[in-house]
Amino acid sequence: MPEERITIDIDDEGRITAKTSGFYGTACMDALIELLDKDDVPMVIKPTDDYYQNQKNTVNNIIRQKGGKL
Amino acid sequence: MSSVIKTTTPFISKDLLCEALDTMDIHYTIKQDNIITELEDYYGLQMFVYSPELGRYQYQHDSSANGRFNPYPWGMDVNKWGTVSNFLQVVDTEYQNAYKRLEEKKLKEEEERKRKYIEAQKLKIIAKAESKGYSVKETRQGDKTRLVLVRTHY
Repeated sequence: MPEERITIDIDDEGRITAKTSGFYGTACMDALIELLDKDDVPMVIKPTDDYYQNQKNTVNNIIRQKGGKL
Repeated sequence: MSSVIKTTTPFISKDLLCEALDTMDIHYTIKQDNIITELEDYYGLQMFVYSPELGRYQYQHDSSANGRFNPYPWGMDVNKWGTVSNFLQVVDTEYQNAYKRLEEKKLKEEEERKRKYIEAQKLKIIAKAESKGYSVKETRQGDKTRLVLVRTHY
């Protein structure tokens, strides 16, 4: 059974680092954006090499917030 | 002959200056930008007068109350403060203490705001994740809160 996993770290400054695995192609970005409110907070998005693969395999991506918005 | 002169901290903030005087149990009244103390000398009540040119308060007093006469015979509470310089040294210390307290208060408020923001952010993510079918596990990793969201497709 395919498992989609998102690990989100929120540090004491309010910065978020999110990592995904088990998504296909760009679905991981969509999932992260849905969860993290892209419109509200500035983010740096760093797709890994796997992100560009169209095959049905595991991809890992990292979204890192620039900083907490207070 | 040499001498060393040390000036006081520039008294810039009225609030901090008043807090310093409160701590010293000095009564005062505020008229416009001036803080009029209960300390008296030959010319009347001594006061902190705000100078817009200098951007700080200056202590207005009879210069003879600064050690020329000891004890000063015209009203200043010589037993407690001795001279204007001694008085201003204590004001200086209490002004700096008030500043530190203000900084600590600001820092605490900022930390509290940050903590509330992070908590709200975390709860928002958890609620969204659960509504999208993820199971959520929360742990603490050093200075970070970690949320592990897992969704299985059958």
